[in-house]
Parts: sequence; structure tokens; C-alpha cells
Amino acid sequence: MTALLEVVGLSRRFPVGGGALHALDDVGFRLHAGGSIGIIGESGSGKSTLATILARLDDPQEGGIVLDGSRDIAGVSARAFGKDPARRAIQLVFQTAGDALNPAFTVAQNIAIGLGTLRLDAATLERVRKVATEVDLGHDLLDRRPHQLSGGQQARVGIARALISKPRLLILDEPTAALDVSVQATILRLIDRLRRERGLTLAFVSHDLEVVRLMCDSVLVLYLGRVVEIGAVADILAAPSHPYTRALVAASPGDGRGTFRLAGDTASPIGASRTQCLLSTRCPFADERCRSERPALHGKDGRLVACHHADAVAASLDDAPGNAVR
Amino acid sequence: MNALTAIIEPPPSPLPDSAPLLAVRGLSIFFGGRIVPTVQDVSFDIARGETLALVGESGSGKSIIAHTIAGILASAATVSATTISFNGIELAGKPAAVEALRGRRIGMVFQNARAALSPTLSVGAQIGDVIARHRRLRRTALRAAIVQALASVKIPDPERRAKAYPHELSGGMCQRVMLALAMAGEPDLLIADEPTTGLDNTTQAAILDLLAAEAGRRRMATLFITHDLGLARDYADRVAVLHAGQLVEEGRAATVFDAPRHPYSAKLVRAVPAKAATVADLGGIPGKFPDLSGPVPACRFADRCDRAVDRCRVEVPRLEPVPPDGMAACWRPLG
Repeated sequence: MTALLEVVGLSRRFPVGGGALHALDDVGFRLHAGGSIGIIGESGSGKSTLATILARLDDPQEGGIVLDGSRDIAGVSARAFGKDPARRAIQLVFQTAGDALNPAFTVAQNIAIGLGTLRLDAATLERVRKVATEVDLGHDLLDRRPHQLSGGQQARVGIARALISKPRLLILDEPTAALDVSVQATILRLIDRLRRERGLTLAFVSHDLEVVRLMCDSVLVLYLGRVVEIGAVADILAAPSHPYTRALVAASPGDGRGTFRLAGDTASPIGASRTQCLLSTRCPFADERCRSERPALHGKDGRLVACHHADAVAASLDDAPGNAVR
Repeated sequence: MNALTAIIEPPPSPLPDSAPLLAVRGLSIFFGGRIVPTVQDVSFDIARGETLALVGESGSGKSIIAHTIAGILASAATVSATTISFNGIELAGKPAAVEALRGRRIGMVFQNARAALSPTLSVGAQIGDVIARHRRLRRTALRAAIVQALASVKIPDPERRAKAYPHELSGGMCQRVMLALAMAGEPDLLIADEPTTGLDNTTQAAILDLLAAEAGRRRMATLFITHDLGLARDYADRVAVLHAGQLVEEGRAATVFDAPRHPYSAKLVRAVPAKAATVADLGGIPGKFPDLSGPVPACRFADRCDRAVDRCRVEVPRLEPVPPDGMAACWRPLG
């Protein structure tokens, strides 16, 4: 089966004083048409960089993004991609919708810009109205400015803007991060309904594993720009095999307080070591090997994990009260 | 002391341990000449060592209740309360009494710590200011106390970090600094107003673990304000649910989360992703948040509630005991 999207060896470095920041380092995954992948990690893990590159708004230094098994769109520069026929097929819903909308334009114009126009002729306006209905946005709001809307309504506008060009792949960058949980619930249900009605393929960036569990069938866990674990959501949540995944699971609210914690904060991504496991400074499982040899992704129970101690991590779940996961 | 006097004299009677540290009764808050109170007749207690979560959507009034107790409410508001009693001291209508306690017996942590810290002073200097207000220390002792305060909130390399400015630290680090500031006065009551909003879940868990440890170690009481009932379930002993300024349910955190009695609490629970098996189980809260600038139904949730009857619109339900051990303000509580 051909994947809708095949991402291979994606790397993105930002030059900074005293070295390079490896925002993404050799990231790859496959996404089938109609599938959904969650991209998860802490701030600084590279998840927004990955979303931006997948949406072809930024260019990687290395790697491929193959669409429909035939065309590598990583070679088309982000600047040129605006005129590419594939532009409409891939759309991004931005984090904090309020900031991503143009405050000078009306809501209708903010949606129409997804078609590359601000002119609201009869045909365009008809399409704007139709997509507004699809996202449950009242037509009386279309003449307003973004600041007159609630956070939930702004999120709907952002989704409508992305959907108006009828994309096949929708990339969502923490679409509910700025919302109350009750508003988040309605937006997640909306995204799920649109996905089924339109047969969308989703790449869903989130810092909340529980949201990814509800919205996605597979999950990719990023730490400092590298994939540390990737596989089916149900498998990984049932038995996280990477200590970083396990810390994310334990920190998710509402499950009872998990006790597994990493020490300190994320290490600096600037000039990060190429020879040790990047988590070894924070990880209770780390030993000499982790500090001298960077673990590669390898297969384990139907998923890929980059940890020398994956078996020990998975096994330790059973005898850790308070850490029980679904 | 001989055996006889020991029998005759009653044992010394310390304040009963069960007496609340903070008792709030009949708190109403009015804004800008409005007739409808933004917060209406709210009552709750917090005992020593206990964490009470005040939970509700944006606009429910949870932050202004916190600001009222801390005495930092905007002057445009009018507060009326039967009592706001802290450790036996009456605070209602006594700004000087609150002023004397704040930063010392009552500490506060805000959301978005980087904005709450001074950008022009090192974090060590800011903590030093607070410590110096409460304790007279020589310079070397003060420096040691600053480093100790930063270490107590698990900031790595505290000697070096004391010299850093807020913009040089991550959001999680700034939040820890703010916590160190609040803890420097060794408060009996900590008011934590969405202390982890905007942080990663892992950082959020680390910060809330610290709060819980401190509450346990010093028997500090905590008023924890959050919109996330799941977080309240994990970190609070009891939960008070607030809707549009009315306290609608109160009880043990696990009980409210697993078996809510008020229809609004039930809707909040259904919004928590961890509680849902599939996305279809997730529910938002229907209807519009009531507009408090005009007339509102007696129970302010009535227009959003699928169980509402005529009585809900004309008669405010009082908080009444509901089994097994909570309180709900509802004419038709869930069974």
C-alpha cells in the first residue's frame, strides 16, 4: 500500500552562536491515506518545526517528503510551494488561532485567504459560507474581526481557513493549547467529525498524550529533534518502552498522579551531543553505555524505540504502583 | 506536678486540628455598578495541610475570589462577605489586616510567571527582597538563604541561577522562581492561580509535585485554581466547582471526578480527555456562558442544563449535602 505521506531522514538545523541547533535530526515516518499520527513532545522537542516543514512553510536541510509514493516535495522550496499544485492538498491549522488570523481582515476574508484571495465575489463567499457551516461557525460572525470572537470561535475560523481549499492532509499544530478543557472538547469532536466526513489524513501535534490517544491511531514521540518511540497509540500507551514516553504518560492529568519523573528540564538543543543518548542526563535508567553510545531506533513489539534499556523500561511498569496506564 | 493535679487540671487545649485555616462565608463580589454579582454567596473552608481546588471555566470567578482573599482585587469591585476568617483573624473589609499577612502567612503564585517577575532584577535579588522583608539577615546569610530557596524548588545549579534574569530562564524555571518567592515567607496558605497554565505536562507535574511536597512537609494549606478537573483530581484533596460565580458542588476530589452530582460538574468531567474512552465520549458544555451584565436565571446554569425545571430559574438552589460525602447546589442533582 502506498503511503499518502512518506517522510525520510528529515533534518533541520538552525545556526546559532557557538554551534547548530538540531531542531529535527533524521526524522521519518509513514502516514497512510485516512490515517492519523500524533506528534508529541515537550517544548523544544521540534514538533512545531516538523509541522511547519510538513506543511512546506519551512525547508529542511536534508530528507524527503514523498507525496502519494511518487513526488518528493521536500525539494520544492517553501517559497515556491505557494504556487505548487500540491499546496491546496496540504494545509496547516496554527497554534493559538487568535494570533494566526489577520486582525485587519474580516472573518470571511480570513477564511477566503485559504484560497489565496481576499476578494469576496459571489462564488468565493458561497464557499466561505459553506465551510463556515461545516465548522459550526454562525454566518452572522463572518463580517466581524477576529478580536470580536471567543477563543473557540477563533479556532473554528482557523480550521475553516485550512479546509476551504479541500486539502487531503491536515496538519494541526496544538490547535487547542490555548483553550479551556470544555472548549477543547468541542473542537476535538469537530476535528474528528470533519476527518470522517471529508476522509482527511491528520498529523496532530500535541503535548497531551491523552488528546493524541483520542484523535490518532499512531504516535511519534520527539525528544530534542529525534524520534525516540513510534508506533500504534494503543500499544505505546499500554506499555511505553522509552523512559521519555513513560514520563509523558505519567504527567498526563486526570489519570491519578503518576510517579515516574525525569530529572531537571530538557537539555539545551544547541550543540547537542552526537555520541550519547540525549536523555541520559535526566533518565533514571541511564548507564555508561547510554553516555557513550547513542541508541538507534530498533523494532520492539511492533513499534520502534530508541533506548538501550527498552525492555527494562517496559518491564518496570508492572511493579510501579501509581504508574498504571490503560 | 503530682498525680492529683494532673487529674484535676484539664489538659491544655490547642486549637482543634479540624478547625479550618481559612473560612469564607457568604462572599459576593460586584463589579462596576452591576446589579448581578459576579460572584454570588460563595462559602468554603480550607484546613491546614489541605489542598482545595477551585474549578471552573474562564469567567467563572475563580481568580477574583483568589484575588479577594489575597487583598489584591481591582478597586472597581465591591466585596461583601459574612466572614473571611484566616487562622481566627477576620479579613473581610480589613485591607490592613490582609496587607500584614500577604507575602508572609498568605503566599501567591500566578499564571505566567515571567510576566509576574521583574524583568530588571536578577531572580536572586527578587527572592532576597522577600526574605529581607521577613527576616533580618547579614549579607552572606541572605545569599545562602537565596540559594537555599532556589534549591528548595529543585532549580539546578542555584548559585549560578540566582544571578540570572527572568528572560534567561525557561517558563518552567520562572514558575519555580515564583514558587520560591511565595515559599520564602513560609506561608500557611498558598494561593496558586493556574500556576502551570502554558507549561508542558511534564513541567506541570514537576511543579505540582513540589507544591504537594511543601504542603505535606509544612502542613501548608493550598487554594489551587484550575480549569482542568483532571488536574484537580490528581492534586487536590477537595474540589469546589464554580459556574458563573455560583458554587455548584463541593466534595472529595475523587468523588466529584468519578461521580459528579451537579449537572455542570458532570459536563466538566466529560471534557477531560483522560476520562474519555473515545472522542465521541468527550463533551463540551452546551449553550452560552451567562451574560452577567443583565438579568440571569436564579441558577445560572439553568439555560445550559438539560435537567432544568421552572424552579431553577426563580429560586437559587442552596448547597445541600449529597451522598456519599459532598455538597451540591441543585434542585435536581444527578443520582
